This record gives sequence, C-alpha cells and structure tokens, in this order.
Amino acid sequence: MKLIAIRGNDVLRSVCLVAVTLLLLPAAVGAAVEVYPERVRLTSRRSRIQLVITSRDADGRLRDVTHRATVRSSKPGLVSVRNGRVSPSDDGVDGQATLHVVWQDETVEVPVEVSGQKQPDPIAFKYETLAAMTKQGCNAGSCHGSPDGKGGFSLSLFAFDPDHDTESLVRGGLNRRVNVFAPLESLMLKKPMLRVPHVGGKRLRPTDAAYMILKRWISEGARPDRDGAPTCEKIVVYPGPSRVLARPDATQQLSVLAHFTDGTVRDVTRLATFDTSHRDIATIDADGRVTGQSRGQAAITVRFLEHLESVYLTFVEEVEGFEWPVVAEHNFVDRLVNSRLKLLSIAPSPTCDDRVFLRRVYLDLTGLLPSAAAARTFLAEKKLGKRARLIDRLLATDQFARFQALQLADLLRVNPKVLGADRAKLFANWIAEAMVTNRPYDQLTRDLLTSTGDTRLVAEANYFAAIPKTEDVAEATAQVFMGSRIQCAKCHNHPFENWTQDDYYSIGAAFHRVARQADRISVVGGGEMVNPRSGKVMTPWGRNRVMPRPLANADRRVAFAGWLTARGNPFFARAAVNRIWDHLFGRGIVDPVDDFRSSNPPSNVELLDRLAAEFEKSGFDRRQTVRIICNSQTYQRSTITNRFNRDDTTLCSRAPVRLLTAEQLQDAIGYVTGSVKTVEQSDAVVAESRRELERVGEELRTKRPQWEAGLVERLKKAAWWHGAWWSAGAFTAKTAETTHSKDFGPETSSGRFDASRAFGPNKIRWQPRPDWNRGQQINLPKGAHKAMYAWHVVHARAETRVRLRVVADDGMKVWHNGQLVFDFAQVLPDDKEQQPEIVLRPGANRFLLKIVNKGGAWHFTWRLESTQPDSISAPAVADLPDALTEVLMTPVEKRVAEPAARLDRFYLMRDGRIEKLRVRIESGARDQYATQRPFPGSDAFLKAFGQPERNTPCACERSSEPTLDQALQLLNGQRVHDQVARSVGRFSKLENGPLVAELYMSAFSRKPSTDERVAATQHLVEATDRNAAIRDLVWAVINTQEFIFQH
Amino acid sequence: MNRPRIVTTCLAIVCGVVTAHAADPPSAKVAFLRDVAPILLRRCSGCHGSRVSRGGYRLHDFSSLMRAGESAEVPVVAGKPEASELYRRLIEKDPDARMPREDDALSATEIGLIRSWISAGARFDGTDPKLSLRSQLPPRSHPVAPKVYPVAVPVFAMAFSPDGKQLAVGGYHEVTLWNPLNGELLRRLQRRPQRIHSLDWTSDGTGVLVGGGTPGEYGELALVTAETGRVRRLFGTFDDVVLGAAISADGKRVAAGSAGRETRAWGLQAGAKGWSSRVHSDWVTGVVFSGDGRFVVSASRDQTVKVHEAATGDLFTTYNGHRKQLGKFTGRFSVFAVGFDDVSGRVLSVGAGRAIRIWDPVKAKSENGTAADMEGRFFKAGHTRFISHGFGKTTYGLDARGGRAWAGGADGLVREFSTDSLETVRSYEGHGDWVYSVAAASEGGLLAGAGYRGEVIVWNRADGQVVCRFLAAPGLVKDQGR
Repeated sequence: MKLIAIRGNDVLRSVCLVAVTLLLLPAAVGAAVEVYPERVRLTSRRSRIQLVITSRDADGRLRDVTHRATVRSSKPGLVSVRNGRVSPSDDGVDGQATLHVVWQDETVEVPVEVSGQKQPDPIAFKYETLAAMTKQGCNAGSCHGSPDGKGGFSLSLFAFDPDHDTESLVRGGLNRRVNVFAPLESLMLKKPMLRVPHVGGKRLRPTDAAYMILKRWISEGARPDRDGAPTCEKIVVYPGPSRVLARPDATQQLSVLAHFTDGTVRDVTRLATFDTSHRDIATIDADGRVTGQSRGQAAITVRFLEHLESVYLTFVEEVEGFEWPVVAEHNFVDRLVNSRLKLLSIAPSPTCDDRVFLRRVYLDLTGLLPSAAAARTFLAEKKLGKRARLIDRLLATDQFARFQALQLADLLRVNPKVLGADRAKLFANWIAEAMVTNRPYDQLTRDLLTSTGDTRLVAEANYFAAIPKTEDVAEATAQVFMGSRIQCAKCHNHPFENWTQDDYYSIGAAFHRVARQADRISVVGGGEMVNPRSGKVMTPWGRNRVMPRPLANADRRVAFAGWLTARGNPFFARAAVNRIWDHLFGRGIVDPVDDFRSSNPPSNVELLDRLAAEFEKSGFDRRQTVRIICNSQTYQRSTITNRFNRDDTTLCSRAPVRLLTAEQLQDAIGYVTGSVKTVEQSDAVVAESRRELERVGEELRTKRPQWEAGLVERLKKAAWWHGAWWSAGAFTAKTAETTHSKDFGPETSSGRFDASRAFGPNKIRWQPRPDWNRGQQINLPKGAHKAMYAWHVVHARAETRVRLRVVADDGMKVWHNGQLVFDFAQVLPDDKEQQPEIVLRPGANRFLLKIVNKGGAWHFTWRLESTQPDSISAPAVADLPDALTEVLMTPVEKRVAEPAARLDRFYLMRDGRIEKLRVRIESGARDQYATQRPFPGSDAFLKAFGQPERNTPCACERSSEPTLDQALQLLNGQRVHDQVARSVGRFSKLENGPLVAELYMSAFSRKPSTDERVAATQHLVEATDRNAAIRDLVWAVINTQEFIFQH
Repeated sequence: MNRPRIVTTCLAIVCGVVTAHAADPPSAKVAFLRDVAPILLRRCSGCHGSRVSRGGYRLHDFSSLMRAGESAEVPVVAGKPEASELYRRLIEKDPDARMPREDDALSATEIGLIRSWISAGARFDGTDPKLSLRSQLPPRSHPVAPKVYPVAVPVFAMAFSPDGKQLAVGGYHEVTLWNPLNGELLRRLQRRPQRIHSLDWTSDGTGVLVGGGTPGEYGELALVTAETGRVRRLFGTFDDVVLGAAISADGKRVAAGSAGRETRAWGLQAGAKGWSSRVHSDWVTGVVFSGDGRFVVSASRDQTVKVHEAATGDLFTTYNGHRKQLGKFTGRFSVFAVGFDDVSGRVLSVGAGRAIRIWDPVKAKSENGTAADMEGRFFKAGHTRFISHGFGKTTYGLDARGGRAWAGGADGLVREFSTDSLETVRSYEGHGDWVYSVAAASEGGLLAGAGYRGEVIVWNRADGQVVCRFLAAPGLVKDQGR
C-alpha cells in the first residue's frame, strides 16, 4: 500500500514539476511572503518547529528567505526564535503568542500555541536516541551498522532493530558505553567526540542536536522505549515535491515533520539525515539547509529512520551571452529535452553530419558497421527524409532483432555454464525469435514469468532454470523488469528506498511455489514465503500490490505478471524505455538503468513519463520507441560541444562519445578486415540454404510412411520390444541399508505408475526419460544414500524366457509385474551366474527398478537377454530409441504431441543433410557476428572489452571501463593480428586510390581527407612489401579513436 | 618511586625558564608525563596515535612525538614554542589548519601548559621514549564516591572474604563491603577507579585486590587494606579497564587482564619483577591462576583462552575450544569468564555459547598443534568436558570451588553445576536482569549473584534459599527499575 502512495507521488511530482515550471514563466503580480507552517504548535517542553519562509518575487521566482527575514515573537518570555527555529522558553508556561515575520515590506503573522510545558518530556529511544545516532553516522553500513559491528560494538543498520541497539548500548560491552552517574563520562559520547581515540574519527560536537539528546537520554537512565510508545507513521518534507531556485543566491531551508500514531507531530529537521544525489549541484548541511552549487537538478533525500522522502531541486542561473539557438524539434522528445535545456541555459549542439549519423544508427540498431557499399548509397542519396527511411529499414532487419536479443539475453542470463549448451541455445533462439517477430514486451514478459515445463523443450522456462533460488528470482525480476534493486531489503529495510523487508518477501512469495525438478519447471500447490525476521507468512505481491486473498491453487505468478505488465504500472514501462534510452545515449534517463529510486531522480521526469506513456500506447512495442527516439533531433545531435553544454552529460544537449561494446568492436574489425562476410553476402548464402532445406525436408516427408512401416513390421516380428522409461527420485533415508530396504512409495502402492501421483514429503513424481535406453549405462547424479525408481514396459509377442542382465553401482531391486525378481545390495558386476531368468508373458510386462547408491559414482545398465537362440530382436537403440519405439507403436491418432514431435525430429535428423544445412543457415549468417549471437561465444578479446559473464541480472555486468588489456588486445592481440593479416585478401586486388577510399568508407563511413589519402597512398607506394603495407594501414585504422568509438 | 626524578626535572625546568623565555609564566610545575602527555593523549592521539596517523604524524610515544610527519615541520623545538609545529597548530587562526581539526580548540590553560613545557626545554621525564606514553602516565588520583548513589550502578565484581563474613562489591569509584547475612553496609573503600570489574581477597583476609578503570582510557590494579581502604600497593596502570584480576592460591603472585588486550602479573612481595603479555587480540575478560600457581590463564573476547607461565609470562598454550567447527558444541564464541576447579585441577571457561568448557592446560597443549588437521585431531582426542548450562544468552559470571561451578549471565539465571557429573545441581532464583558476577564463599556456604540492576542476592548453597538481597548502592534503598 505504501508503494502506491509513493509511486503516486512520483506521478504527482512530475505533474507538479510541470506546474511549477509553468508558474515560473508568466510574471507574478507583486512580491509575497509565505511562511510554513501557517500556525505553530509547541506541544511539549522540547518541541521545536523549523520555519520555512518563502518569498515570491515580482517575477514569479521563489526565494527562500528563512535565514534573512526578521522573525519577532510577541511574547519573548513564552516563545523564542533562533535561526528560524521556534521553541518554548524554559519557563514551563503554556500560552499563546504571535510571530511577526518581516521580509522587505511584507509582514506575515504566525500564531503560536504553547502547551504541555508542565509535563516531563523524556527522550524517546528509537525516534530520538537512535535517530540521533543515525544522523551522526554511528550505525552506517561502514561503521557499527555493519553485520559484525566495528571494534566489538555493533548496531543495527540505520537502527532497524531497536532491541538489538538497546542491548548493545546499555547492557552489552559490560555497560562501558553509558555512565548514568556522569553522562559526559559515557564512552558513547567520549568516543565520537574524540576525547578517547576513535577509529571512526570525530563524529559528535556539542553544537550538534544529537549531543543534547544522547546526553539527556543517558542522564534519564539510558532506558529503551516503553511498550506501546507511539510510532512514526510518516514524514512530511517541505518544500516538496520539487522547486526551482535561481542561483547565485539559492539556498533552501527544508522542514521535516514526523507524524506519530498518537497524533503528535514533531519537527525532526535536525534529526533527519540528508543526502544529495549530485554534490556538484546542491549541498545540504546537517540542519537541512540546501545550497545550490551549479546549474542542474539534484534530489535531496531525507531519511528519518525507516521513512524516506525526496525533494527535487532545480537550480537555474543566468548565463552570460546565453541565447537559445535555432534547432529543429522533430517530435516530443526534442520538445521535452529542450524545455529542460532552456530552463538550465544549456544550448544544444547542432544536428550531426550524414556520415556520423549513418555510423551511429547502424551501430546502435544493428551492432554492425554499415558496409562500404551501403555507406556510399546512403551518402549519395539526395531525397528528403532519408534518415527516417534508413531508421525504418534498419528496424525491419534481422540484425536489429538479433542485436536486441543479445542485450536481453545478457539480462536473462543465457549462460551455457549454468544452463548447459543445449538449453542456453534453445533459450537464446527463443529470445531472438521473439525479437524478430517483435513480440510485445508485456506479452514476452508474461510468457517468461509464468513459464512452466521441461526446460529442454520449453525455452522460456529456462528463465527459472537460470536463477536457482526463489529470492534470486524475486531480485532478478525486480531488477530486470522493474528497474529496482531490492536486494538490500532481503536482510533489512532498504536504506535508500521505501522497499521494506516485507515487500521483498511479498515479491518472493509470488515465485515461492516454483519447483525445479530435474529439467522441469513446475508450480506446486503449497508452500508459503515467510519473512525470516518476523516469521510472518507473506501474502504474494500481485494485481493489487499485495493480493487480497490468494487462491490456493492459482499460479501466483500470473497475478504478479498481470500487475507488472498492466498499463499504468509505475515500473514496467519506465524501466523498459529507460533501457532503450540508455542503449541509444550511453546513459539512462535514470542511471544506472536498473536503479530506480526516489533518491536517484530521472534527469528528465517528463520525458521518461511521456516515453513510458507512448510505449504503453503502442502496445509495448519496443521497435516503435526506438523509432521515436532515433528520429528526434536529440538523437541526431553532434558530439561537438559549445561553451554552454560542455559540462552537460545528463540532459542530452549533445551526443555522447561511446566506446564500441565488445561485440560491436569485434564485428567492426571483422568487417573492415574482410574476415567476416557482410550481411548482404551472408543473406544470399542463407537464402540458398533455406531453399535447399525445404527441398530436402519435402523429400524426407514423402519417404516417411515407408520408413515407419518398415520399423513397425520388424517390431511386430520381434520376440519383445521395450517401451519408454520413467523415473522418480532421488529418495533418501538415513543409512544405506534403510535406503535399500525402505519402500518410498512406488514399490507397493496401487496406481503407482500414475504420472500424476506424488511420492514422499518432497512430492516426487514420475518423469519421462526419453534419453534412457536398454543396454546403455545410465549415470545418475552423485550423492550418498539415495534411491531412484524407474519403470518401463516390455511388450512380448509370446511367452519368452529371458535373462535379466544388470550392472549397478551400488545395489538394485527389480520387480516384474509386481513380483520381486532381483535384489542385490552390493556393487553388481555383469555376472551371468548371479542374474535370474524370467518368463515374459505375452503382451505388456511391467518392470519396476530401484537403483540404490551408497555414495560416490552412481549408475546402472539394464537389459534383457534372450535364452532362445532363434528369437528375433527389436531394432537397435541407434535405429530407434526405447521412448520412440513406444511412440511408433502407438496408433497415429493416439500419439501425444510432444513425443510425436520428438519422433519427427529423430526421423529428420537421421538424414545428415538437414543438420548440415541448419548449421550453415545459422553459422553462415549469424555465428560469425558477435553482435548477432544471443548465445554467446567468448574469447579473450570479448572479455577484455567487457562482455558480461551473465551471472547477475545487473546491466552493470557489462563493463565499459577502459583497461590496459583493451589497449594490448587492439595493439597486438591474437584476434586483431589474425584478422589484419587476412585483410590482404580483401584489399590487395585494389589499386592504391580505391583501396584507401574503400578502407576509410568501411571503417569510418566517410572518404579520406586529402592529407589522409596522400599519407596512406604514399605508404603503399613506398613499401617494398605491398601486403605488409596494407596490413600496416588496416592496423593503423583499427587503432584510431575514430574507429573504436561511436560518435 | 618517581620522586627523586621529579625533583631533578623540576630543577631543570626552573633553570630552563630563566634562560629561555623571560615572558613565559612561571612553569616550574610543568611535568611532561603529569601535565602535558594526558592532554596530548586525550585530544590528539585519536588521529595521531598508534592505529591512525593522519599526516604521517604520531604522538603515542615520546620519540614519535618528536619526529616530523609528512609536512617535515619539526614538531617540537626545545625552548622555542613559536618554532614548534605542535604548538603553532594549536594556536593557528585558520580553522582548517588548527588542531584538533574539526573539534574545539584546546583550552587556554592546556595550551599554556604545552607552551611552558616547550619553553622550558621540552624535557622527557619518563623511563623510555619508545614506550607508549599511556603506559608511563602516573596513576590517576580518584575522586570520592557519591555519598548517596543517585541510581544503582551495575555490579561487575564481588568477592567473599576468606571467612565468608564480608562480601566485597564493586561500586562507583569505590569498593563496598557488606555483611552477606543481612545486607548491612560495613565499610566503603573509597577513591578507587570509576568502574570496578574484578575483586579478590588475600588469603589472610586483610587485603582486597581491586581491578578497574575508566572505559576506553585507563585501567589500574591495586591491593588495598580491607580495614582502612589504604592502598597497600599499586601494581600498575593499563590502557583500558582491568576486567579480570586474581591472587594465586599460595599468595605469591597477582595477575590482571584489561580491555586494552594486555595481561600482566607481579610478585606480591615487594621487589619481585612482573611481566606483561599482549597475546590476545581483543579484551582480556578474565584471569585465573591454576591451583598449583604454575599458570596464569586469561580469557578473552577474541574467542581464545591463553595459558601463560606464571613466573615468566611466556605463552604455554592457547585453548581454542570456544571456536570449533567439529564436535558437539560448535561455533565461535567470545569468552567472558574463567575459573579453576581445585578438585579436578582443571580450568573452566565460558562466555557466549551453550556450555562451560572444562579442560586441563597441559593436555590442551599436547593436543594443540600447528598442523592443518589440528581441529580434527582436537575433536578426536579432545579431553574437554562440557557442562551444558542451559542458558540462552551469554554467560558473564563464573566461580568454581570444591568440585562445583556457579555461573550466571544475560538470562538472569544463576545455576550450580557439578564439575564431576557435569549435571546441573541447583538453580538460584531471583534475578530478573543480566547477571554479570557470581561469587561463592569458601567458608559459610553462601553464594552471591549481582548484575545490571545493582542488586545483590545472597543464597544459602545448602538449600538454595535467599539469605538476603540488597542494592549495592549506598544510600539508595529502592531499585529504580532500570
């Protein structure tokens, strides 16, 4: 519920910001003074109220005059005012008075009511003592608030656990920290005041508000709060939520009021903690007075224990000689960006050249450089609107989709080390497919978050396979789709955001029932998420934040995904468009992209909100958002600065210069050196292979009935054939002996071969084992004292004598049609003497196996051996695996879709041509490009340039930091060396002039300048070894800044 | 013992003043250790000490004090305060350069003392310029305890006189002696350190060993006469409060450990040399002698118990049984109390965790080792016996005698255990808050427990009945419910 309010606030905030901005523009009539609060109530002896006095000047600008206006009390003996702080005099008298606030010619009267002066006003432990310690930084994460404390003294982080803190302060540490006899002798005062050496340094001065509170709390007996003491419900910060102030004379006094459950309101301005998002723009002192340092916007975050509010202050100033230049405004992006720039007197850069735009938009949208041919065509084109047409063309390419998929695959952790190569590939292809078809982002998200099934077949279920723990799923989902880092709230309330521990586990509860069994993701019917600190069962987060009454059997993820992707969700669309913005500008409107919080304000709220709204309106079409942004003048600005925007890095007054990403750089080098085919060339190969594949497929389809009939005939003649395998396990018991002897359920219970039945407390079910076969060694996951059950059916033509041939490490039991026919507890060699003969009866024979492990390696082999020499055997496993045999012997109309599909695949893959063509289609077009492979290949080069490992959901895993290794890779790394060597093949056939032109067009999308052409040509002419000279040139081009940066 | 030296120093200073700076106020009385060092330690050593050295400058010992930091400005030029960086920084007008930085300036008196000392030649009147100043400071003189306590003070130390007729209790700047049978205040041994954390009686019942100090800055161990409170001998001072102290059974030695991580021991007879050991990495919380007087055993918050040779202070062995990963009672625990059982001849140690450990120092050494499998060997061969005390929180108070052990802690529970059967023998009821101290009388069969609230409860060990209960706070009758 809290979150609604806050997010609502955000929306409100942006509306207000617009309103404030608008209000500023027309000149207001006359100056006016406003005093906050309008009336002052001092309800106890230590009550203080901070006044905030605002002047509305004739031009409509707001000015804080709290410390400049004169404030007089009508009864100085009753009420006194210092530094704008109103307090009762110490006489213990109740009464009423008036404050006269005078600023220039205006006077405002503020009534004051003084009460409660005769009652004692003891210090509240949590809201004063602990707040004071929080203010002084005692319980910060790097000090005593760290998990183990510091120097043997531990406090809870930002005082989230007052019980712990009272123990630490008073009884813990052998009572050495407080001295009730002589409060000033207390170590908790002497240390921070440096009267005794303190590693944390000077933390407390007698002038600090905290000093009086701590001293007084000790002298009052150092007691914790009594039971039922009022708690703080909220804090109200004034002015809020935003304000524009004009420099140089720009300060702003803040007021922080804490509202308590007993209805009282206390001024906690001097006890609240203040942080500024941009120290260079605004600073704030301990008493809540903000000073603007330079033009720009800063968020001032006010924290009072677990309560957190932010105020956005924008500082503007007259800049000498500033004039708004004439710039085109293509769409709302430009209007919103420019309105902010105007307010802050920042002049945008002009539109960039075609060649700069071409290289920029190719790299951003496809990840690849434009080929020299494509560049020439574009540069030569004269018709209007060619940039918009290029954007549309690129958006429609596979390259765009696949490059998008690469970025999404980073976040979804498509990591072959975790998923295994096959599943990683499957998942990656699914993402790529979704991008190619431009699946709406909300639908894609719902598909991912509600997926179930076998991860070897259901690609999107790998989202859960990639993240093994419920908490991690909650964290990753929040970070990827909500742009929120909730990790901190796992152990304590989030220190920089209103995420509480309960919120964290509520989101966790939505995913708590996801079960991972072998390769299968499923949703189980029970299990509740519990907040480990309070022990409370958490209601899952869902459509109405927290679901009112979760249905017992409903998949709670559906409600969560529904809430997340609903229109108007405060996180989803904003986080998505912010990621797109980040990709196109190298910096999110909220930055880092996955760290949305009120203390990290968007650089342009209106822009973010509008983009999000348009994104929702377009049906969550990412491509459309890219189109809007790329078509803006803002995107098409030059990187060249002017004297008004030199320092701007956040408001997009100019295009950023960015290092190519690892994949972009690798492909760019491949392109220029000619060691990678251009997209145009590859497309031709792929198209041809596709046609061939279709032809072969058609040919195989016609031969299919014949193939099936042949096999069926053979099976019908065989003495017996094996059906599909099922397994359930592993089950564990205390000792190896009991594991062997105990029935875990499948041995005797009726209906024990029912796939929907669950066994044991872990609810283990039968899983199909399409990869298990007779006669093959089957390896099971290692582990002590485990038992695994397996069953399968053997169909016999007539009564047949067979010998059971078993190898098992360690023991095994076998039941034939319910009859125990084999029981061996030791490691089994393949020994004929010890293995029984059994008689198969005509029709279906059910075999139940129990494989037992005592420790170490765990595997078994199982087959039947004919004792009748003349019997005909079924086709070999290589020709037809057991599971497929069963499919084949099922009449076509009764076949289940999934196994039937497996039979189709098996049939097609028998023909080697299919695989070969598939590989060619994939590798010919894609695998050669790093930017076009959502399933990553990795090497030293990519790693050096920051390719992420995909171990976290954080966008920060992709590093853009320059490193020495990068320089070495470019100068003489293996990849660069090899590819430069190959460039001879591309360039040696060309004459010197065209060669240089081609090289420059490929690398920089431009012609060489005269100087460049002369120098390069001369080098080629003078060289004794022309090939070596070509290599030198290519190497030199690759090592220019112009090449490795996008601009 | 310092008297002759002080006289010569004073003479030197007097002479120095005459020759150096006629304008300086008379400073005949300025002595470095007594007057200057305490100011420097209190106001400067937080940033310029042994652990932190801002600007590369330290003054925790005299030779460092005289050595320039990164600025290369000479800190002290004898006779010339104006040329001494140390002095210049104190009177500097620029608030960013003035010391102590971001803190109140030193008072005029303090600055005057430092100036006078430099003017007079900046003489060092200690024993060793390389030894920490703190350890060379003369003992503090302590104020008289409040006549009437405004509130009760937590009790950390208690000891029965050998005849069991008096109970010494740690107070605020004093030790109070009570009649354990009726709670009557017998005497007050005044002008002792602020907090008293350890008490022991001499075997003849005439003297009380008192260990205590001021948290974070000072510790002291002294033997006082039980009848008069007169200091018989002040053994030494420490960097932090003395948390544990003991007299050996033969009455020949005393030992003490402090929150400053130091363990020290002295011969009780005049002239016998003492030793100091800094083998612990955290507070030394308790000290006990083995029955034969061979070892001094010190417990520490660093999760170890160290066994020293009582005669030399050499480390005999380290007992690591409070940080085990194998066996029945695993975990890593601070140790807060240590005792010695004369019947089994074993050490008892306890703190956080679920059990009192009972172990033999000699066997502990033979089981100890440096090999990587030490813990495994220790677990297999472990001779340690465990009393599962059943407390849920940390145990602070422990006493042992005649095959019995008594313990109490943050649960407010006090229990008696057999060191032979390891069973709980009896529970002593009545405390509702943290118990810090437990003491058993050797004569008379009484047991006392006290803690945070300052209330002492005396029980009869024969039946567990309360004999009397009183607030160990002179003049204060009612517990104020802290």
